[in-house]
Amino acid sequence: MDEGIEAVNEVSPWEIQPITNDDIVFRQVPVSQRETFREKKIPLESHFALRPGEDELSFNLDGIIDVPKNFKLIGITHSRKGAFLDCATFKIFKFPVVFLKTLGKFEKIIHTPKFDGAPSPLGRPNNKSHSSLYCGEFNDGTRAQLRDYCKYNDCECPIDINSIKQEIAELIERHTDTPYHNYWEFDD
Amino acid sequence: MKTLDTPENYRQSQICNPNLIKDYDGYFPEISRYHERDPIGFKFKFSKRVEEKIEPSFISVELLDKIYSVPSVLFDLVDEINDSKYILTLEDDWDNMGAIPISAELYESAINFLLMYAIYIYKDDNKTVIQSPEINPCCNGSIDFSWSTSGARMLINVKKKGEEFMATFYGYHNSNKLPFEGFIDMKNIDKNKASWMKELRQ
Repeated sequence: MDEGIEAVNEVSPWEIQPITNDDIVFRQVPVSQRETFREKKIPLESHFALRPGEDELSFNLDGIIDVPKNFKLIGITHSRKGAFLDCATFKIFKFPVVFLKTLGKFEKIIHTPKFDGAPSPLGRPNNKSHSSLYCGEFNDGTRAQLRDYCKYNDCECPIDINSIKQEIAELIERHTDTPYHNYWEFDD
Repeated sequence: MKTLDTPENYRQSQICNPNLIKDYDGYFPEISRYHERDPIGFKFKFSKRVEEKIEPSFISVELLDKIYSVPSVLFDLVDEINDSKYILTLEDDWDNMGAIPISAELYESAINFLLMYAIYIYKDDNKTVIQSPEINPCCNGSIDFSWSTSGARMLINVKKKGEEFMATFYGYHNSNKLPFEGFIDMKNIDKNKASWMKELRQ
């Protein structure tokens, strides 16, 4: 999910899963740690803006991933500068696909798993749940609709970060010997 | 807000509120709490002359190497602008996910545009004060102004296109929810859009 995976050359071993109206997708957004006296309700419209060169917004498909796994995936991913991301600086929001299809500029949402080898490079785990939302250029109206949906619905997926910190530390110690860097075969 | 714990504070609060001054035509019961011994002494009436002397005061906002003078009633907007100055310090990859920095020229141009419309609406529409928007940086190097008021919803995005800065917007009035979107002139006031934006008042 926008997390620095720039090129995926390996052939994905995973079948593309159809995404239906009943499905839920997760969107992870970085939250500024800047101290401010003016409170802002996250997510902001800016969390749904495309980066230069992008034409789709990344989500993760519920069912293949869950909220704790999504946070762990963040925690074992490198930033562009090469450091592991701090998952405490992210929030995750859930969106029903049936809502996304009501967006004015909605084009399609498709399952687009990211596979970069088994194992994939350190800091660049595979993502079997990755999905792509296409809504043109994600103009102001689309971004406002996405934010407002979160504002008026219970979309945030809270988690006790401390409960998974130890597990993330263990995953990092394992380097690329983790399910995330391979075929996403989890014991649980 | 200043408490009305003394007669002097109370009197000052009335002087700062022209509407109350116009409406005043008699005795304020609240005052008597502080002057029970001699309430008659406060049965004053403001004259027209006092009302005319009331001038809007101004506050300044410093932006890069410029200082803007803003009617003091827009203090909340100035607060938000001051709070947003951190945007100028954002470096490459400021969100750890590849965001590009916001240029000082874009920031200055965007704030100038925001002040221009807020001041115009204040002056043109009987001192209407619009709510201050959230000012947020975007990962693509643009800036968002976001309003959500009891009257309207609006999002303005200021970005660079070629060598020019441009602003796009989306919004609706809560009374009819009809979407309104397009471009806004950043250099000159678009009176139609400024009129539409009056629904962003506090």
